[in-house]
Amino acid sequence: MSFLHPGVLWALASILVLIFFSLWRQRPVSVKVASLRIWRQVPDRVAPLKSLKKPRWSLILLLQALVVAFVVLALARPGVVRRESLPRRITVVLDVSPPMSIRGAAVTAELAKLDPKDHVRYIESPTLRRSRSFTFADRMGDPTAALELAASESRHVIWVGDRDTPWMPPPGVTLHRVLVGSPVENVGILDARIDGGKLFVRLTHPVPYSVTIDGVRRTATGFLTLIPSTAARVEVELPADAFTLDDKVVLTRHAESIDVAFEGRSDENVKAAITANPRARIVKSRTPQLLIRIDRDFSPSDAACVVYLEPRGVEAWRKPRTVSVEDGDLGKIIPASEVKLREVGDLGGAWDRVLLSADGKPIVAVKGRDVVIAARWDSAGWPVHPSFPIFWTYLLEYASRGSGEWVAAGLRDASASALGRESRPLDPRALGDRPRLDHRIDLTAAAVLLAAMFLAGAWVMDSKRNA
Amino acid sequence: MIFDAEFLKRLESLRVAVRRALQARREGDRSGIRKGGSAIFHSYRNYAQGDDFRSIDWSLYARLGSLFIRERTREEAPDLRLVMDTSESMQFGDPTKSDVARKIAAVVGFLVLGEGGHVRLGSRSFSGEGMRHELFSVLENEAMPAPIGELRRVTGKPLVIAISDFWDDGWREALAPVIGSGASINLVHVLSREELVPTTRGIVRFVDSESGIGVSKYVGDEEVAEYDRLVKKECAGWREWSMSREVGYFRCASDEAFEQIVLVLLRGEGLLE
Repeated sequence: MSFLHPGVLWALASILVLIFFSLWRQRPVSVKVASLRIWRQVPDRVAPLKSLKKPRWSLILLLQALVVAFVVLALARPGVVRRESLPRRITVVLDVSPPMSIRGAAVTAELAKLDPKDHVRYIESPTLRRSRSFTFADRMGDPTAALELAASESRHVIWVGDRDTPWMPPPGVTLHRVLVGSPVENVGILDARIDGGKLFVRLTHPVPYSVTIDGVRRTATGFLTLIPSTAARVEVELPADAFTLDDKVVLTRHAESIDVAFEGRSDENVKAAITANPRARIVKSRTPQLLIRIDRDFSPSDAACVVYLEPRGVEAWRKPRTVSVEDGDLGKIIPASEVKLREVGDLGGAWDRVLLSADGKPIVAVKGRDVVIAARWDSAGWPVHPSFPIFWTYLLEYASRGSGEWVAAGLRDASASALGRESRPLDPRALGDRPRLDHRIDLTAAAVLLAAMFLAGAWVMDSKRNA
Repeated sequence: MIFDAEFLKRLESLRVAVRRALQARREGDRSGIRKGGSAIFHSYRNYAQGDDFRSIDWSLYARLGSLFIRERTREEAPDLRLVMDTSESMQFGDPTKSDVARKIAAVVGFLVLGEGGHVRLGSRSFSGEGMRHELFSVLENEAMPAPIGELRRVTGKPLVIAISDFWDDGWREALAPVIGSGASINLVHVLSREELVPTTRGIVRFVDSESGIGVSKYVGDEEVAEYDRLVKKECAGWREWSMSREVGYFRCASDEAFEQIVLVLLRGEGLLE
């Protein structure tokens, strides 16, 4: 037990005063009388005589002493201190770049060393996703952003990756490096392209690899392989090793014609504008060069280019007051005055390019190879205006950019193939002791209550005695 | 102030009553001799109801089996000897026993002086009605001599009125020669209410007011009952002793109505019907 004002406890000596005063009161009352003659004749009772010589024990005195004791205790502000250990706040930055795809078991084993009583958060790098789902990114990335974010949230930051990071924590933050690398031999495809009828392949280590041309497989070595002019698909594949993400590349050549496919609501005006272009070929392929989605949600696609018309998820369709066209390919052929829109929807988020804006907000924008058009037009307006097949012409050109050329899929950057070799396990002791919090339970009210109870008891007993 | 205007007024009305009584007695007495009190033996007569029992001749009763009153003649000038106890033990009560004693002495002295008698108080002597104020002054302001010593100085056959709580030992021994000399003695036994009905309870140390000696006792209901019995026994002892010696005895509490005390006393003395 602790006391906020321990010096007050000296007042407990007043109990001695109380006892002394009680004993003093028990002394015989002196009464002067005219004569002792009669009183001398009054016989003494044995018991009272004895009691005159020693103090009488008194329950009331005991209760009074307890009242004094608990009042003094209450003034001293008693309390009980409980020391609680608080959980540590730890943020784990998980490297989910492609090389980590083979380190899942090691990462799980290291993370199992963390104490479940601690508050542990996870941030994946370089995606900045707050989870430990081990959804691996398709690219390498700088972990600095994830580590900075973690340092802003916790004093303990644990970096889990297959290679060290040069990032230095700010003052007050401790970085614990947990490396799950290991000496794993890996051969990967660093580069693959077809130029002038020749296949050029660069590997991390020169090893034999297989080349499949339009389904015909053969083994190749060296850097160059001849490719027939009629070939449309070339696959380059290395022997399987521990890290397989860099073991295969597929090169395809785009055709002169442009395959166009539709999804979602049917729109005859748009279809007519497309078919007016002689290069366009409407197909039902899942991998066209141009996929037009009308009134559909955003979703991944294997098409080279996706155009969204009236996409779902756009909020607040409204009548535009002003429309502006960006300077660029589309801007120079579409005057803003020609754009007749019934309603527009605001496209939030970040875009690589904004082609059209209404009232200062993007309504037609480009991200990657996708084009989003958040606009509804009148039957007489764009893009069904007779001049507007030109829009679709440029769009088809945009979608078919590189047609006839070879495009490689599955290439990784060089750092993805360089697997981390360093191993450094997690030492939970390095996290230090948990912070402790002294929680004081104040007992003053209890002392006051007890004093009041004893006071009431003494008062009741005294009243009964005097009754 | 013991003798205030109210007291003197009451005293005057008492004196009138006493004088009427005395005058009536004189008119009924052919010999013109006042009877009773400290006087010379005159004759015997049969006892009649209401006669002062102190006048009964007990020796004659023993011989004859009948009650006879011894009649005495009184001197024309009554001689009153006041013996008052104003010691420390008499300072108890509310009013104090000492104040009551002084008032009783004043009343009796006043009446005697009014009848042309003499009053002796210690070494002081008062005669005649004109000295009553001086008597009051002495009673109120001066210390009274020790009563037992005073009894030893009684000579002749005066009317002796001794007023005390009679706690001191030696009273009876001191009264014996006075009784034997033929003086008419009246004892006024004054006790305080606390002496008659003690209210103290618990562990008590009783301290004698005069000697300073203390006695510790536990006082409960049983002790108080025993005390009451012993006090009554003490008073009864004085009454029996007085009766056996033809000494007048009257007991009162100091807080009783003063008029009642005086009237009973005077009736007993025969000064009032």
